Amino acid sequence: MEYDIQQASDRINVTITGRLTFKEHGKCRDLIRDLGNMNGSSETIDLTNLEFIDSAGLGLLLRLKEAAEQASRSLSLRIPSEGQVYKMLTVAEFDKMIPFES
Amino acid sequence: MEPRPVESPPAAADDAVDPGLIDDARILVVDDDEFISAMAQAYLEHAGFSRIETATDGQTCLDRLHASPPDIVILDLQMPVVGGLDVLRRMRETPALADVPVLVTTGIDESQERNEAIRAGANSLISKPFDAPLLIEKTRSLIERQILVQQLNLYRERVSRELEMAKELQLALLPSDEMIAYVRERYGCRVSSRFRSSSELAGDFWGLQPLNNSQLAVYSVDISGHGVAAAANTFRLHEIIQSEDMHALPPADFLARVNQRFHARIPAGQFATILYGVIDVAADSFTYASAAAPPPIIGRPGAGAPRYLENRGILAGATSRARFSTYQATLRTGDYLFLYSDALPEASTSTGELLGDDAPARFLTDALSRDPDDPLPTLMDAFYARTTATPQDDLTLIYVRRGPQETGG
Repeated sequence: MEYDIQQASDRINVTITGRLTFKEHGKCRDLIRDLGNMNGSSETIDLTNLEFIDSAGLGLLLRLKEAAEQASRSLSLRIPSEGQVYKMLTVAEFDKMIPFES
Repeated sequence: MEPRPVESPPAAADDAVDPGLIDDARILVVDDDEFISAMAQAYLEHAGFSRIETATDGQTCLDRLHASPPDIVILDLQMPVVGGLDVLRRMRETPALADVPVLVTTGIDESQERNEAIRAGANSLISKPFDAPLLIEKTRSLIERQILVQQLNLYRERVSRELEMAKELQLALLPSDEMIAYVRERYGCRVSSRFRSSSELAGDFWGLQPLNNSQLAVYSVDISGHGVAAAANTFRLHEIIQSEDMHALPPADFLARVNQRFHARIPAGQFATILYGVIDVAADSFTYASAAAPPPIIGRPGAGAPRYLENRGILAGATSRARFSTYQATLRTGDYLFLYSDALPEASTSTGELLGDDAPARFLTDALSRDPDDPLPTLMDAFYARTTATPQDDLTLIYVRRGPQETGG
């Protein structure tokens, strides 16, 4: 996985690309650390260009959610409209845990 | 100033080895110059070492080494008959001696000799005449490193033995041959399965649970991640599933209960996909709920394309109060039900593409056309032939074919 963090006034936008799997928990920790150094009241994780996610990858997203909650930031996901990532997130009813942006 | 030897253990390791163990190490000092040998011995004894042996030529040294390897050899290079370099090379070629640390003693400015010693496998070098504190420090450091290596090897052996045991325990979570035979007799369901773990321990398991004369519960679980953490969760989750009263609850409620208990007991950030369903041979139905499990497939051999069933449902362990939906499908005599872990659709082909969601039905249909009785061996062969090496995830396949209920028993 690769990630990129952008900030525009109060909004933090995180773009994650590549594959989000069990192997990435080290990198995910880095991302959480980087986000911890930032200020903002809302955060969006953009997964529209993510290639692949597995159930462990969903777990990593939930860690990001916990981190956002601790920082008192609202969190939402931007998800692709089709493909493996879309299917995985919808099958797992992930919007019940992190709202999807329309 | 002499540079610090590269093999020095990190400072933190100083606490890891009991100083008594170091003092108790057996040291073999090899030098044809008895004065130097006696000096070395005196320095070492003064530093607290008590088990010091000496040899005055290479052949005696080799005989001693073979008889009983010491914890360290302090070796002179210039000796008659068998020289120090020959001793060193022979040690490194002998498995039992290959790891014994060797501190080579050389004359000052013998750079050619020093290089040869390093190439032959010396762990460290020290110039003669000895600087006593340096001799002690190097000796201690090499012994300490050796003890740490031995402890690590012991630890690894123990861990690998324990992993082997855990693996056996995991296999014991799966339905026994007796259960499979019983299910065939009581419900007319022929169950075959393949269970492969890519890592030493699995994060997958599946099971069967007879509920009553017409209802048989079947479940398939895939814990996220691999290795010891995932394996520990398989035991937790298996225990939870087995202890819930399956008889009384519709699948969605059953999963909600399992999820709640699982969420309470697992460390944060660990999850599972679960497919739990009930085959009812009287009602010709399969009633189930899914926690983000891959879609089950129902079909009939030789009768067109199989159907993927609905599989929406929240990932187990993600939230304590997840609610699930109960879904129902028709499963008649002669139909099959196919459950599989996501390693099947998510395996990569040699060109790096995912097999894709249509792969399970496609592989199964192909395999059934060749082996209608038990398609799984053919399916597995095709799977491993068309994907890269071993799949990166544990792969579980469960194939249930409904036949007529057998009488008797």
